[in-house]
Amino acid sequence: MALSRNEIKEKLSDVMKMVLSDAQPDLSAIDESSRLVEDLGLNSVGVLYIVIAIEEFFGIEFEDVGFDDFKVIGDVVDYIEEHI
Amino acid sequence: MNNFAYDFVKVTGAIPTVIALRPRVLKPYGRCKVKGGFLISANHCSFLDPIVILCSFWSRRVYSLATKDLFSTKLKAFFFNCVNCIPVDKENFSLNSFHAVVKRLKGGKVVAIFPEGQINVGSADMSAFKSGAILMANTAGVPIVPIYIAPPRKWYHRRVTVLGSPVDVRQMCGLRPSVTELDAVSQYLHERENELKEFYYSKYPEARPSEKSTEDA
Repeated sequence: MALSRNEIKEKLSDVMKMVLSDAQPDLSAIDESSRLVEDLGLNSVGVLYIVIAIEEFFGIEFEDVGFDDFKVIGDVVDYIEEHI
Repeated sequence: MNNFAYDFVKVTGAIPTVIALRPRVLKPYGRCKVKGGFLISANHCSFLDPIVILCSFWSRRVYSLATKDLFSTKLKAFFFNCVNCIPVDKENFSLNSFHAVVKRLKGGKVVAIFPEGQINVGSADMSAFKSGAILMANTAGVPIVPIYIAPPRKWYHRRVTVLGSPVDVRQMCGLRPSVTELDAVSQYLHERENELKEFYYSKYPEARPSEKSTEDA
């Protein structure tokens, strides 16, 4: 199942909505340069949760990744694009 | 092989442990009746805490998380694998460690975790809990059993733990909670453990630190 970068970003937006819920008021302002920790206020558990949710949503299995491996949303999109 | 090695260490270490620690388990809510997998959440006041937890759940094989530094040589790695330790990188918590814990919980095993993240020395108050334990329990669909481990006042004092009632994470925040909801359950768990701490002090009032010593700490 090949998804375009835009489709990946749309699906990723759904994941972010679920994970962030009411914590982030304006998800539309999030773009590829948004930083996971500084801009979205995620901690290590939050990043891990996003990775787990992506595994479920996209049906992919991440190799061993950690908190430090994803700095911005673009890194996550790149990883999904490479592994989907 | 792994179970045999674990049980061997457990049985041969039982008598020295009982003599040295003289463990006592207080059960204000009765016995832990959870069958199958569950997560133990405990405060962390000493490097002996995993052994103290093992004494509190003697009939079960308890897995615990250990910093990956302990697995630095083949011999150490062999030993810590034998005693059911799961390596974890404290600086950069990885997906592998997470999956290892969830796999064991789903397989009906018991995993002990210290949500404070590090040994809390010199303070009677528990540090804030990280919500990773909640995420693990929720993903695996298992309850969390909170326990309070009383910090030893002197090295020769007996080690007392207080067993709490199980917390059903999925019932509290559903299958797909937000990060905020995970944090809220984490806070709830912290409060439950504080209640267990108060129960301990009601049984051992002499153990309660005086205001002066708290200020000094």
